[in-house]
Amino acid sequence: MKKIFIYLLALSTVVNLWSCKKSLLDLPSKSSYDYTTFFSTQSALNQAVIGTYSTLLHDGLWAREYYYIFDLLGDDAKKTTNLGSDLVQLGSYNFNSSQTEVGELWNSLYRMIFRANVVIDRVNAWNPDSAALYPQLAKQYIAEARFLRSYAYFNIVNLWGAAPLITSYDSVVNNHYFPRTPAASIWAFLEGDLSSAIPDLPVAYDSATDLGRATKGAATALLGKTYLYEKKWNLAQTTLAQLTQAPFTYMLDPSYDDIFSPSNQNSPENIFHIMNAAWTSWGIGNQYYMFGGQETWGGTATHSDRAQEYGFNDWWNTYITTRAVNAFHYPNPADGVTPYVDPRAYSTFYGTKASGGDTVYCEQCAGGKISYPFNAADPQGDYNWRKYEYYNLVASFGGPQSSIGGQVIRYADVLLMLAESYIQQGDFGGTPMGLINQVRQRVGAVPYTTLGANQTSAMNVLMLERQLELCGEQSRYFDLVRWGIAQQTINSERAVEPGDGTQPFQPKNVLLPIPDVEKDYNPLVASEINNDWN
Amino acid sequence: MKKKKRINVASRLLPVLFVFLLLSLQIFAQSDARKITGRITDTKTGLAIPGATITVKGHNAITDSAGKFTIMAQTGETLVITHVGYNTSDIKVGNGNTLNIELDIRSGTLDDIVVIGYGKVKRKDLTGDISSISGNELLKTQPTTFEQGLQGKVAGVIVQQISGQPGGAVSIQIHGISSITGSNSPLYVIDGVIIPPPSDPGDGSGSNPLNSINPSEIETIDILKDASATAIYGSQATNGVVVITTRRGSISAPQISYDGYLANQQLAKKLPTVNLQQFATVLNARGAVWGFDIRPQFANPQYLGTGTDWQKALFRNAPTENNTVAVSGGDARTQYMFSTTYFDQEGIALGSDFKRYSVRLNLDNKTTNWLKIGTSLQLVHIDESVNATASNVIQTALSMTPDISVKNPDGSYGGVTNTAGWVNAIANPVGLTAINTDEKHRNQVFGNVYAEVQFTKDLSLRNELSGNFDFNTNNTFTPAYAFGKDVNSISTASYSYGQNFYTVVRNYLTYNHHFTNYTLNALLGQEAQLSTFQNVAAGRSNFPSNDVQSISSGDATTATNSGTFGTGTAIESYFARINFTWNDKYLLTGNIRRDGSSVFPANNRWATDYSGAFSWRLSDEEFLKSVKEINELKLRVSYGLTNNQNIPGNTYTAQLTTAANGLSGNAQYQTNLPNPNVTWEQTNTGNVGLDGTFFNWKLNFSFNLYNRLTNGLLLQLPLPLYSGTTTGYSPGALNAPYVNIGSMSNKGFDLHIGITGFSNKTFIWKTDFTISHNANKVLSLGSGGNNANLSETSGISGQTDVWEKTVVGQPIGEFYGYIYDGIFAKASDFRTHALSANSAGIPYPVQQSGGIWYGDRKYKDINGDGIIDSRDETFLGSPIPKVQLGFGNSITFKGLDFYIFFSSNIGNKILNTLSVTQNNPQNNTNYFTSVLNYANVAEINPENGNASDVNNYYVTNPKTDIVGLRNDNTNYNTRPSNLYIENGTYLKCKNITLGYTFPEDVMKKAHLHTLRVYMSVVNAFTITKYTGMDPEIGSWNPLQAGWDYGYYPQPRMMTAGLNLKLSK
Repeated sequence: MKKIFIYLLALSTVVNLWSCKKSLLDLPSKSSYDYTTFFSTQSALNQAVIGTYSTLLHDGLWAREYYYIFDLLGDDAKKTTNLGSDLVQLGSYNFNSSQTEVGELWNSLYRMIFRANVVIDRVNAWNPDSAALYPQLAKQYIAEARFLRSYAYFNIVNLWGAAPLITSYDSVVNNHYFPRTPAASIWAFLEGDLSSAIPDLPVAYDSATDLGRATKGAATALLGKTYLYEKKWNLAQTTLAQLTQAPFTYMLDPSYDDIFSPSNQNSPENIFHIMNAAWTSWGIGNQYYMFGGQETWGGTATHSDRAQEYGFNDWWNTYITTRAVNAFHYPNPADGVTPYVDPRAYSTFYGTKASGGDTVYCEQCAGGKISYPFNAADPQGDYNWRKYEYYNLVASFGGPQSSIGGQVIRYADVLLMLAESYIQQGDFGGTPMGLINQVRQRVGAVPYTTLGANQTSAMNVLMLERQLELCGEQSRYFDLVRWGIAQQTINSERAVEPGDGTQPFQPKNVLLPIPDVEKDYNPLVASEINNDWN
Repeated sequence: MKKKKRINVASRLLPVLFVFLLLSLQIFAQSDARKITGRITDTKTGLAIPGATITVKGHNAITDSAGKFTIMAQTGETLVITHVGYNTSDIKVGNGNTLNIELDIRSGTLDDIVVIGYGKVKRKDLTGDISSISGNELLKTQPTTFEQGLQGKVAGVIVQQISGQPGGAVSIQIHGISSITGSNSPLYVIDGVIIPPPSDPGDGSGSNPLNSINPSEIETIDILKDASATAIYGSQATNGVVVITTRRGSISAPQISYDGYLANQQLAKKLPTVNLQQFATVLNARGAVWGFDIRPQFANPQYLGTGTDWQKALFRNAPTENNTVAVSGGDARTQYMFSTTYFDQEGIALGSDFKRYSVRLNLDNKTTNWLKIGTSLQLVHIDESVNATASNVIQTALSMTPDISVKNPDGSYGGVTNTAGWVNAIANPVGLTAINTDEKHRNQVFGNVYAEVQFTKDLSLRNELSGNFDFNTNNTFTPAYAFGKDVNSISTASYSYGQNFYTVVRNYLTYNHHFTNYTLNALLGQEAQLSTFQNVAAGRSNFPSNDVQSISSGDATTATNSGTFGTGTAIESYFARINFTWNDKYLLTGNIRRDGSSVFPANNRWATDYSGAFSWRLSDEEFLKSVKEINELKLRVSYGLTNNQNIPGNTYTAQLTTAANGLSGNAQYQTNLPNPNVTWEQTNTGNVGLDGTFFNWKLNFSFNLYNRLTNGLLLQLPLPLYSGTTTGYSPGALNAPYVNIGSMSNKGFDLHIGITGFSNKTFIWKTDFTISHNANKVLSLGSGGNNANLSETSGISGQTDVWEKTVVGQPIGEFYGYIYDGIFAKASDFRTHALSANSAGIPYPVQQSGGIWYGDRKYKDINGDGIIDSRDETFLGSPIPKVQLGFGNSITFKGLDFYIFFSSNIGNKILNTLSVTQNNPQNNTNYFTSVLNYANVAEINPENGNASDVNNYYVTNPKTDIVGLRNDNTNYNTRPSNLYIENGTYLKCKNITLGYTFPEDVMKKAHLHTLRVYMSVVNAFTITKYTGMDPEIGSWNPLQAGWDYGYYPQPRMMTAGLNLKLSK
């Protein structure tokens, strides 16, 4: 009897020990960090913010596809025979909802939104012991996430119009399918996000460690641009004008070439740009990471392959169009009659002396400069990209490894947008002209003495100026669409473009098709698409 | 909160119960026992029964050769007399000192003990659907692993070998497939130790943890099928439970036995690859059409020999041996079973073998009159070489051309040196098996210890602690080599170490009482399980020589390493069962079990499984009692709900990955989208069964009809916004969340019939027949619908195609493709038959180059739109057998025994990927002989006809399905079609055995107890239309079942063996 009691006593102790361990059923992963517990320090949250920035270099975005998509759609660039078939579809406007790069762009923009939402969610949940130390950082992280989220939605609303609006991490976890939200709501969300981000962002970061992060100026510029695209001219004007004053110290880079040179990350003109860095060895990652290896093949490579892909002495996938080349020839603003070649032609493309383009390269090579071998017999017109190339330093890159950072918003763009906001409000006098001339004078172009007699002529000046200043910077397509002249301009340009002669732009092309990657899996979006397009 | 409360209730309740029950404890008083003597005889024959065991509390005895015994007992005590083959008899000790006891030969199976979860019942008291097979029955087919032995023996269970590789695993589906992403494997419980089901081996090279069990140590296997039987095991048992009980010692003198056999295995079927003459003929003909120079040495094929037969070179006659020595016995206090095994099987393909060394100790000790303790303990060491499967040599051997010699005259391995005629250089498969290393070694310990406390005659408590500890290594080495033009210039090596620990503590109370008219059996218990794994792996390449293969001798700059601490799973459970029997006629069972699993988030962590069953023994009703022909008739009805939790841990929370980033430091990003609401997959099972025994126990049957409906099917929901997986390589792709969507049903029946056709003293003939049928249907895939990404694609045909699809309204994983409709053989075919079209819907032109031409394949225009495009694809059948049959006959005549067993799959399809490549003359490796019958295009008017006129041609052999020799595949002749989806129906003679047991008197003179010698053939022959090596192709992945990629075939095995028992 006693023995049984002892046995039971011992047993019940064992049983109780076992079942008292309430944590038994909580088995956190020992192989990877957990969302709920990891983001409890400042450095962990910083890593989440960086993870959001790194989507800028994902497929469809600035790793590679972004400049192809918009240079080809915007008629700044055209295919050579080397260009891959997917990208050729973009240039010839004969793509549909299965277009690869368009699908990648959609995916990566929503991935950026997803990660930005993670940052906002986690920072808000963050409860640092030493809260007093980091309140500013916590706000800054949220503001950075808001900026990146806005950048993504800015692209989405302009390219697709109505689209799923996912505004929090929690909602994507609990909601699997989002319907399309009207464009107006996305614009409103964007304004709100940027407005609340601006106060919490620093004017500048430590240039040794944090260059490339979103600044107060970047958010202000994107907000101004947003107002401009929404035709809220006065708000655009007042917002963009802030960038010309303290605390901001932006100025035009004295050298136009420097903005697209390997050292462009320190240009005083940068407002927001992509931190591409040279590829040095396989030790830092795959030289071809831009073909899909971002975050999956390892390494820290962030180089751009634009130099190699566009470069005439390398993969040579695109020409600059002869229409773009031609735009650099216009009547001299001084008299309105004399033929004039804009000096930016030299910086933008290689061509003939008559075209205004650069005719030599390899100026700083050991072997000395080499003449650009313009092929007069090329029926396409053998004009090739100089912007974003560094053929002044080497005859050939030998690999995709350019360190030239991608310009997203720079000060000249801001000045021209500011000028536009004045003109659109009916002021086509000295104020907008001064802004335009400020941009022109940096490159030594003859200044305008008048913007013309009316708003239309002033807008024509402004539009040409944007085309020239921002050629090959993925601005043209967005500008043409928002000005409502995309169809007439692109079709008339393409009709006379050598080797082309098509008028491919259809009314539906003012928006991109909703990609299959979305509509095949999201019944709520699929049910709201017209004609398999948008 | 709910969970916390539950634990408190349970832990408080248990001690209270104990105290209450202690009050009813009886204290066994010791009093005077006296000597009782007696004799035990057979009721029918009157002959003495030697070796029978007589037990009474604290004492036991065994009858001598005259059937006599002596034992100490007192009046009122009960003697229990047991002997194999006889019904157990209980005799109350009266006032006399002499007892004469008669035993009845056990007929029928009613008194057989069946293992139910956490207990045992007699078969007659069973309410659930449980099939049992004995160890002896199992051994008749000489399985390498016990699961192989189940094929065709158990109704309702589809067993298919996944790989014929030694030690290879089989897939077992009990009553169909209930899960898409989760495991469909049953729960394996060996002496109370849960063995994880084999992990998905992919190419068949994965480890099979079940192969560490020596089949000859198994006493019985009980297969729990319906919910009323499985619910007590809870959430791990949705797909049924296989309970294995190993042999234990009994109260007897030491019994020493030896079981051993030697076997020779061979390839059962060779595939018809071309010989050198035929190869040269095809290549010459092809060269003439394609326009390349034929090889000078092939100019006159008739003078060539047959060349190398690569199947002959790769496959060998391989020996197998198995030796088991067991010692068992015991007295009233302690029983023991000790067994040791050595098993060695060479594979029939070079580069594969399997060795198993194991020791088992099963021990039971009645420590005091209220306490019993014991253990089951097994130590196993396994050495496996899986090189043949890992190096894919079977497929390579079928692809290698006959002009290559296995070895060059200088002793080096041969290889393709001449690729003229567009022949690819592929690796020498024999060379690969010789130089590559892919070895697995495993040490496994599993066992349990238990203590059983008998409070009263009716009430007992059992405490168990069990574990399974598995330590394994895998080392691979691929040297640098050059087989002709196939050169591997970089050597690589890898080594990995892993350990899997599984532990469980379980405690349960059992109460069993006979009241006047009814019996009550109740169970209450608690269980906690924890399973974890860890692994580490390292690799290097670029070894300076192939002689030293340890990782450290490789190039240090190429070193890679990885390791994980697996998340594992923890499960906590509380369970209870009541069995209620009224008048032996009406039987009721109720089960309830509550499981908490770490796999789910705290809010969904706990699930309740329950089931109920009712049985009615019709034969005990007055209106049937008088029917002499019916010995037993029982109707069973059960219903239950079980929950499945087979998804990876931590999917309810988001996991992060650290990525190096050039921007400004490390980036941290999420790798999965969590579903905080993920919860259990639920399966409702209804089962109706009828068991009967007729004609003086000569015929018995068991019939079951079931319907299983799985709701809340766990699937990874494909979401587009962030996953990006649909556009190929994607950075930072997120794993889609596991979501409870969809439902699936399984309906089927199974029947087992056993007949004792004839029996008298010298001749017995028994027949067993099983039939199992299951129909699976996907009812819903939630909002993902038919786009739920459940298609299986393959590039075997040269493009990435969908070959298998899972959609609503069809069974899981059906083959999908076009329907072949003959070849274009005459000019009118191009006008009357739909042509295949490009993606814009425009038919390809009819022309020799870049178009459709004679000898291209026609496909059925299913939608009748006049062109062939993806809309003409359709479902081509399921890889799951509609019916699996088993048919066994055993005949005993005096000392001779004969056994023959057939198993059969009916109505399944197999994708024969080898026929995609090897039946295609455009292929650039070896061919099957069928290629000789390529569509032969000839001109109608060779002299004056216009060579570019379509009407000037015809195909001389229009009945062929082999395409023409043209170097153009515009028509995409290798597209998925029913031409490659073959009928998998087969009838296999799994086993023929002839044995002889020496007569007792001979044995006595030799001082032996029993000796049986036997010979057998395993996989004697197969009748099938399937053209591959072996139509039996199991799969782990129901979405990709029935794919024959050059499957390791099951060998034919010729065996000679003996079973020997030494007496005393």
